[in-house]
Amino acid sequence: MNHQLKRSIQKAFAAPKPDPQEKARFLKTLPQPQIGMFRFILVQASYLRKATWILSGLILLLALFGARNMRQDTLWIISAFVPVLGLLAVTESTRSMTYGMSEFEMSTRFSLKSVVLARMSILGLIHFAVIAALTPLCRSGHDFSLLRTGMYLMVPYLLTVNFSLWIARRVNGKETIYGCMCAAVIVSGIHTGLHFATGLIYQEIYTGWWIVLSGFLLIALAHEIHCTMKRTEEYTWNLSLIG
Amino acid sequence: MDLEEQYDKIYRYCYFRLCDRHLAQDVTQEAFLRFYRQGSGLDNRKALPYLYTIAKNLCIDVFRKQAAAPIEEPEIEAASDPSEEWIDALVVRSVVSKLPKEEQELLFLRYANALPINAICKITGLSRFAVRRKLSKSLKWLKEELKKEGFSE
Repeated sequence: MNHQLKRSIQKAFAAPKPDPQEKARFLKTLPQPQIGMFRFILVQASYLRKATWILSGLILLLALFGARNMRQDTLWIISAFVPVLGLLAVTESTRSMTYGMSEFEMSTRFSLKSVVLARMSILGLIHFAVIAALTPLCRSGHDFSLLRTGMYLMVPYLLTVNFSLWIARRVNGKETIYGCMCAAVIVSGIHTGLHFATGLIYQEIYTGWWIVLSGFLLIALAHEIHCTMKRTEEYTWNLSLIG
Repeated sequence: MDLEEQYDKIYRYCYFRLCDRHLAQDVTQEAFLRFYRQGSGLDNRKALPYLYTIAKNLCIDVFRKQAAAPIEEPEIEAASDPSEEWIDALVVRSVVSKLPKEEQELLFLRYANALPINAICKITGLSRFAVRRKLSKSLKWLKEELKKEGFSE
């Protein structure tokens, strides 16, 4: 159907404009319905960039390929890629702050704090699921337990997320992305550099140290999230200046 | 979904059914109030046909109450500079008005309010196949009639 006919049908059904004052008054007083937690999380998930889903899927595919063909090397290669997941999680959660949209988001229907928290929770759950799926794949060629393999994957992820959140709180604007990328590259680089020493660092006698390190990083993550949430509250003084 | 945009679309739908500006605005507002009272929200795209169904039922109620009253002719807003497009729209309207009301409604929902076929099925209670068939039949007929009127394709 040609474009002109389509436009003419649209115009043929055009109605006289509704009373603008009445419309504005009604829309202003229209009570917004309460939204359930599950629905809210689904709505927020739809705002996550496609790149986040695609990259998470790609890392999973890489692990599948590695488990099939590289066996023993899969663990350190995937450990070197896991910081990318951490980078995605932080840049995605702090997107509104990076692009200077946080004050705008604060004036919208949902508070910035709840939006950031919801996005962090969604990304955390997705990445936890990805790491959980990676763990048995990365075990191929090793006799490590699932817990140990999981820790070897979680530590670089938690390190990147902690560093990136710390950077995101101190750096403003688009530099946040570069800062977080640096953190991810450093953690990934350390892992790649240490791959010759995997026989040493993955020894069973160091399992205790890995557990302590994982615990410490989890506590640090909780602290970083708390500080990031507090930061979203600090913007409120700006709104109080508006009459 | 943009609330204001949906308000305009529902208002246009009510106007299409009632041909009365004030009644259309009242019914639009009532439809939104009932829609939100049910706990639905425009965040959910699937709820949109429900909003249209409420508006449609309200229009039917109003139409029944006002059955005795004379029906206004729908008006097209006069353009300050009547362009060829505006004149075309008048011609299209006169041709469209010859179609059965149900087919007019399908054309309206699909091309004036840009609703997806699935939503139209829920609003009209027709199957996807029936909606597609009726739309293509109406368009074909419309094109032929417009050719007779000297409408340039």
